[in-house]
Amino acid sequence: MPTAPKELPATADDLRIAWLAALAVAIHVLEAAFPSPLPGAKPGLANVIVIMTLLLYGWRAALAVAVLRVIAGSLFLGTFLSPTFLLSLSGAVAALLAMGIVWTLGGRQLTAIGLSVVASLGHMTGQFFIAWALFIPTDAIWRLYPILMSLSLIFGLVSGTIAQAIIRKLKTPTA
Amino acid sequence: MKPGDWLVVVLAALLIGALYAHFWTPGAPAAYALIHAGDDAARQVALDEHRHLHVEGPLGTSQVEVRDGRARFTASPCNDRFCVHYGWLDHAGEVIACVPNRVVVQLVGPERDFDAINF
Amino acid sequence: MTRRRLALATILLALGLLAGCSQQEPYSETLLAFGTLVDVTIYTDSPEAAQAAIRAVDEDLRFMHENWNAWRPNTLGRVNLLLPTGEWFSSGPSLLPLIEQSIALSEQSEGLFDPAIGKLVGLWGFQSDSAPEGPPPDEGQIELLLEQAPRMTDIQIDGIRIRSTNPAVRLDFGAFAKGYAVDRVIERLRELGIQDAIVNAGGDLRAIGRHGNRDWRVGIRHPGGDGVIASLQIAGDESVFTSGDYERYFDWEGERYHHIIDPRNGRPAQGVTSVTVLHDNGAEADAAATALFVAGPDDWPRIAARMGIDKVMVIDADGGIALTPAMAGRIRLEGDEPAPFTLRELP
Repeated sequence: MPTAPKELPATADDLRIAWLAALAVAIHVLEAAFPSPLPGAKPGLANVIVIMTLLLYGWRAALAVAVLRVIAGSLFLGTFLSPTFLLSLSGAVAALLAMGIVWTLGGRQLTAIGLSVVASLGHMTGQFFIAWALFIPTDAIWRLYPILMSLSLIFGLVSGTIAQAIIRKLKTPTA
Repeated sequence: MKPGDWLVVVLAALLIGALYAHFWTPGAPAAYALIHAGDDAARQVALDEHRHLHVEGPLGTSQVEVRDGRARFTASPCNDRFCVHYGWLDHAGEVIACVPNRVVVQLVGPERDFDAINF
Repeated sequence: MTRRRLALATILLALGLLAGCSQQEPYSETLLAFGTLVDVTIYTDSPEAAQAAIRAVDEDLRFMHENWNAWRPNTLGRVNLLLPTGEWFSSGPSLLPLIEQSIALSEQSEGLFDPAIGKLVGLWGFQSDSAPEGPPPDEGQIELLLEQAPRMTDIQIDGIRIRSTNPAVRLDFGAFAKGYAVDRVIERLRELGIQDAIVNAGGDLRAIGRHGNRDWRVGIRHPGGDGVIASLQIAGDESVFTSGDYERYFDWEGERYHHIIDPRNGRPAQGVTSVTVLHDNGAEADAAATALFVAGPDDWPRIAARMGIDKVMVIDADGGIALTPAMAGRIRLEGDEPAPFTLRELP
C-alpha cells in the first residue's frame, strides 16, 4: 500500500537557519565573483552571518549555517569536493573551532568584533595549514603566512564591525 | 567594543608581529664552506669573495677555489682526482672530498636544497 | 577572572599555531669509509641520540671495510685465498649473506653483475681505494681470464661452508659492498630506535622515514660535472643508487678507462655514462645499477624487467637521458631548461 509522502515538519529554528545559510551562501558566491588581490585572501564577509547566528541563536545554529554555507556555496560554484572546497571547509571548521574556544572561555566579554577577528585568524590558519600540508608542501610559502594573517586581522575587524552594526539594528525595536 | 575585544585585537597584533619575526628573520647568514684537513678543526670560509685556498694534507697541497657562493677543488695531489673532476659545489649540504689527501669541502647554508646529493 | 581566562586561551591558541614549526631538526655527520664519504643525516629531537648512533655506525663501517676489502689479509682475503683450491671451507659468518645475495642477483642479471670477476678488476687495477694510472692490461691476459670464465654461480654453499668449482673465481664486491654497508647502517640505526634517516655514500643512498613533515629531497648530480640534473623525493624506505663511469677511471693515451668491467668482454662497459636506480631494496638497486650499466643503452630495459626494477634513469655516452615510465613519474629534471628525455617502456 503506497504511503503518501510525509512532510518533515520544519520548525521555526530550521527556517531561520535556512534563511541565514541562504544569505551566507549568497554572500559567499558574490564574493567569489570578484577577483582577489592576493591568492587566498578574501574578505570573508559570509562570516558576518555566521557570527550573527552565533550571537543571536547560539552555537549549534552557527555550526549549521557555517557548514551549509561551505557545502551549498561550493555546489553553486561547482567546486564541491575540489581543492577549493577542501580549503574552504578547513577554513570554516578552523574558524568555528577558534571561535568556539574563545566563546566558551569568555564569550560575554566579547562583541561580534572580537569574535570576528578570532574567526578570521582561525579561518586563515586552518586554510593555510591544509594548503601547505596537501597542496604546496614547500616551507617557503610560510613566508606568506604573516602577510595573510595581517589581512585577516583587517578583514576580521571590518566584518565584525558590520555584524555588530546589524545586530544593534536588529535589537533596537523598530518604531 | 568591550574590553575583551580590545584584548583580542592586541593579542592578534602581537601574534602577527611574532609571525613576521619568525618567518621573515632577515639576513639569514650567508652560506659558507667548511674545509676540513685531516683531523684538524674545520676552517670556515665565506663564499662571497673570490679566493684560492691551499689546504695541506698528508699527500701534499689541495687547492680549493671559492667564488660566487660556490666552491671547487682546482688541484689535488691524489691519483684519481675525482674531487677535481666533480666540479663546483653549489648546493648547501653538498660535500666533496679528496679522500686520499683527507681534505673535505662542505657547503653550509641557511637552508639545504637537498638532504643528499647522489652521484 | 573571565578576562584572564580569555587571555590564556588566546595565548594557548597562538602557541598552538606556532607549534607548527617543531623542535625536531636534522642532525648530520660525514664519515670517511670505504674510500668515500658517507653522509648520515638523522631527523631527530635528540641530537645526543643521533650523535651516539652515528658513532656506532662509524665503528660498523670501519669493521666492514677491514673485512670486505678483497685485497687485504682479512676475511674476504682468506676466502679468496681458499677459493682456487676447489675444496670446501667455512667462510666468515659476516660474508656469507653477502655471497648468497650476490649469487642470486648475478643470476637475475644474466651475469652482468658478477663479483666473481675480481681477477679482471685486479688486472685493470681498480681493486684499491684509489684509481690506477694505467696502462690498460695486456689483451692476452684478458682473453685468458675470459676463457676461464669465473662466475658467481661457480660458488657452492652448504651451510656455512663454501667452495668454488672454478679456480679463476676471485671475489671483489667493490661497489656492491658499499651498497650492502648502507643497508647494514640503516639496520643499525633502526635497532637504535631511529626512524627518520638518510645515509648517502656518494652514489649509494638509502632513506627511511621522512624529513619531518616533508619527504627527503635527493639531488642527482650531472655526470658531466656541474650542478644537479634531477631530483627525487623519497620517503618510507627507498634507495637511490647511481653507477657512473666518472667514479673511478684513468686516462691512457687519450682513451678513458673506467671501473665498471663488462664480464662478457673483460673491458670497461661502453655506451652508458650513468645509471640511476630507485628501488625499495638497497642491495638489489646497487646490483641493478651495475648490471644495467653493463647491459648498455639498448639492452638495459630487458635486464631491468628481469631484475624486477622499474624506476630507472640512464644517461648514455652522448648525454641523452632515458627514463622508465615509473621513473618519469617520480623524478624531476632540474635546471632552468630541464633536459629532454625519452621514455623507455620495460618489456
